[in-house]
Amino acid sequence: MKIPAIKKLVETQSIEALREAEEQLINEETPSFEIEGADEGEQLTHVFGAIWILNHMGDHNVDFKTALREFTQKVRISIN
Amino acid sequence: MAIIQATDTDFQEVLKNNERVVVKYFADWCGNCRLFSPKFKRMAANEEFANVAFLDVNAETSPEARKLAGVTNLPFFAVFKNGELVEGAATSKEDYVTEMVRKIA
Repeated sequence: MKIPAIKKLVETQSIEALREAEEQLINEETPSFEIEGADEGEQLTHVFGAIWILNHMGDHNVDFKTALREFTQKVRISIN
Repeated sequence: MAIIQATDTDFQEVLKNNERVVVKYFADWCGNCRLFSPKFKRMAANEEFANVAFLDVNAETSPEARKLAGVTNLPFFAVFKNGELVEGAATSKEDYVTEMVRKIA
């Protein structure tokens, strides 16, 4: 997982576009915009991360940095 | 066989009630975990593994189950026999997971 790739998606895509890309990646189709990542799995992780951060920013009225910090905390918790 | 959704609440019970168990640890943010889902379902339906219980565990919300297998990355697979951990690995390779399951089947 690469944070700059998630940041780029947050800054350039809407949640709707990201949801569509999520479906496309799951169905082994090519999304309509570039998603960085070594493979489809990492690309999908970046899409999941961007969706989570955008939702979190909207639901909790926080900035990108705060939402990103909470997202990376979620990730750390899952594997520690 | 259907995949069992387990949590910290029932993980030990499932291990106790099933001699052979394979666990897929996942998280909602993990793309490779999501992409592995149909492969795991296919493995669970394989007659060769009819005597193995297939479990999905959310690593983020089940810390005890996660620590029991020593999860280091996701997706993470662990095979248990008679309640004891036999092997665990972070991988997205279906062949590798299949070989892990064969060790306990």
